[in-house]
Amino acid sequence: KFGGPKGGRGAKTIIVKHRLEGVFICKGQQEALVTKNFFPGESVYNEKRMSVEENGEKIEYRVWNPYRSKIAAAVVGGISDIYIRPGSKVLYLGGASGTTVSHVADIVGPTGVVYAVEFSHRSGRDLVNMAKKRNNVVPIIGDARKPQEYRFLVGMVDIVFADVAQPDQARIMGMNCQYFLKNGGHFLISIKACCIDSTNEPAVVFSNEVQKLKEEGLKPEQQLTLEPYERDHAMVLGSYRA
Amino acid sequence: MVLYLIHDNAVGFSLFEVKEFDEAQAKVKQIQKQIVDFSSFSQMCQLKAFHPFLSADSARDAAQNVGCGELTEDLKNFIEENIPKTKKKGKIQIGVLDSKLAQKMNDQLQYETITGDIVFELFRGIRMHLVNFLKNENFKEEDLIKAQLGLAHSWSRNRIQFDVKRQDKPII
Repeated sequence: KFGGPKGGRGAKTIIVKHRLEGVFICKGQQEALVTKNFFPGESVYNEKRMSVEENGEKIEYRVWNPYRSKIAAAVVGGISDIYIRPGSKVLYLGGASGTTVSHVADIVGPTGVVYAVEFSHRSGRDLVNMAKKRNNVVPIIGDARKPQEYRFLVGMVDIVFADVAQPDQARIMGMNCQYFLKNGGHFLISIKACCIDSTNEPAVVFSNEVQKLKEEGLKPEQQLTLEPYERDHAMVLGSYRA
Repeated sequence: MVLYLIHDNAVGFSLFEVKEFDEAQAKVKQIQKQIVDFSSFSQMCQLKAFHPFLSADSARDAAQNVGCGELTEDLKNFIEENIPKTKKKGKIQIGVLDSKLAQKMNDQLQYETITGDIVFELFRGIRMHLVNFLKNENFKEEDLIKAQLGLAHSWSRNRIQFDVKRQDKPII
């Protein structure tokens, strides 16, 4: 029963497919969420890597930590779908240093593309450097509030993900969907309660935000808490003009 | 009434023509339906001219200036070359996405410009079907993504490099 490909360090590592396409689970001493490394041989933020042999070919995977990535937390938390799959075109608002962006790029692979928008120049520099090694990441240093400024750089996408932590993030999401999201596309938004309104109960803040998303013409379909990986965070998933 | 639409993207400017356009009668819902299908949309809206960016620098220049609502010489020439001049009012309109840019065109060129929801939906349609429209130019989706990638790198590098403070502005 202990067949399986051997891991790089001699430990028994078995990689199995996750329910969601493009995501994998590593069954070693500890179970971990992993993605297939687009640029083998290098980590992006010192995350662990492991390689396994499949049909005589070495394939490298990178650990995707739910404590560091909200999408990973949502996947572990049992979200019904992230709609990010091999070949998808993704608009990623709030790319920061590009740690989660790199995993999204792993999932979409060489046939997909990730447009990553980040406002801050400091973390934007890391994002640009990461994108140099991953040619499916289009790094955009710009303001997600002004999609008209980066309209030259972005095409129509299948999914918009936002992790901007701004009080007006529902409007930011709405504008970007109007510009770039295909009919029948999906959106995924991470809501940090204290960034929207620190005086209200998180549950109230979430339902207010969902209401605001509806007013923007979006159709929220699922809401998921990111406990225990993030405190007072929710992930909302929905569709657009379906 | 003829409506011209100037679309800009990573590869160049393109000009589209919508014949017999009546802004007062057009309905957003109806246009939303019409843009979904390429065959019905291409009957309504036709590609008239295409001006590719000849160098990476000219592309970046356009993306930076036109993106912020400036009317560049390049764009001005493209409009004047391809849109017929007419003295009569209400015969030709130019649909523009950005209201700042529309204002500049109004002031500097003798054309009537319009913006708004309907124009926005038409641009959405163009963006959705761009690759189909440019098929005759031997243009593929990979070419567009490649152009976006190159342009984004030079655009972002430029922004980081010429940041005066070289530091983040505090977020309050």
